[in-house]
Amino acid sequence: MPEVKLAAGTMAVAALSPGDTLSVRALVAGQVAELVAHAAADPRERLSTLLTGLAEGAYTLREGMTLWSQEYSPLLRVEELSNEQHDLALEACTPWIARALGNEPVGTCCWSSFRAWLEQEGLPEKWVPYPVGIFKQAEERDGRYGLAPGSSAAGDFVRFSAASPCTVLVSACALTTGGEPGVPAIEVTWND
Amino acid sequence: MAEQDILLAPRAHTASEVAVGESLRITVVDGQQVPDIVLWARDDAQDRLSPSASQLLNESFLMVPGCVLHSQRTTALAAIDACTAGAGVIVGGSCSAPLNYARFGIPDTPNCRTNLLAAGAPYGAEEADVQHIYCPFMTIRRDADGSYVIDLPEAESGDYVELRALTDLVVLTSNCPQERTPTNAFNPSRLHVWVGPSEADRPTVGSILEEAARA
Repeated sequence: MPEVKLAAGTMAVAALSPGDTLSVRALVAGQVAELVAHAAADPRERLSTLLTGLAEGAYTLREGMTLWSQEYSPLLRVEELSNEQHDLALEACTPWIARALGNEPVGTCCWSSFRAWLEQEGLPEKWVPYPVGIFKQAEERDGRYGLAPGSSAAGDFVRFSAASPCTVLVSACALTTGGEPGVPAIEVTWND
Repeated sequence: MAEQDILLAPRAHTASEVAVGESLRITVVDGQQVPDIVLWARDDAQDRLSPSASQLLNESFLMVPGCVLHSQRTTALAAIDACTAGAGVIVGGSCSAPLNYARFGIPDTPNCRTNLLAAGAPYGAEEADVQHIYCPFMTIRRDADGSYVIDLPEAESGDYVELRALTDLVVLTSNCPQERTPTNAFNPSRLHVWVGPSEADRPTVGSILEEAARA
């Protein structure tokens, strides 16, 4: 069973078959992971958090829910989770947003990592999906909307199973971090 | 002199080019109707509307008058000079045939994704190009139980949204054909689209309604 420990700003790639499981675990409190999935047969078929949210009637992850592609094909299911505070609306963090918000990314931004994988597949950046922001939170405080610290406590996890052949990318967020640069912050494990 | 001045039939779509110095106004004709709007920089389609960048840079979840619509690269695309009704929703996707099938079990229903792809065909638009949506009159909220609720739109006849181009733009508009949710009060109806110099006189609501009555 592969196990990858990610420092903030790094990414793991897992090719899953139906029934395979993949777990994302926070090693430090406050760390966010962003997860996207692409159909194995054609990466242009990809996770749609909007379709998932409306089809499942949920704006966060819940046990038993399915993550769907934009074509309404099941990609992943949520088998178990220790924390229900996640985001299904925001785009992946980008270097431009980091710069505009005055944040220095710790490593590679999630969007840039997802784009790099797509480029290996011969596809342009526009096919980067909106991710599941695992432990990611945005909120309005004092009338101002913005990113909030990740909801994760050390040890919090989400376990998925694959509903169809797919490639899953998990990036430890370079902006919403809980630890020091270079220190493992997210653990990803999956079936070989 | 208007660049574009059209009555958009229920379920129809259009593409507009809006240069710096020009504005686009979309007016609700019959009431309780929602447009889905996609935009990108005319010279670089990858410099496209980003809901998240717009929300984070405006420090606002909803896009209200005074907000600026930003691209993923944080380019200022358009200023929201007016929006006389509605919450100012901005999201990563529109209604689509697969989404409608997921919710209603009916295949191949009219939807904004198909509309936007048709409107964007002259620009070579693909599905990924039309997934970032500004939906000014839509009413959608998050309930405390973790679910989404779509409500009737607030926009009445004569309400409008106006965008002023801060970059030369391509704008695609779908007159949302959704008839199975409260999005358009279960009855898709007409919109009016106007593009012209920002300082030009706008068509009056009265003239739009007169034109609509003749149509």
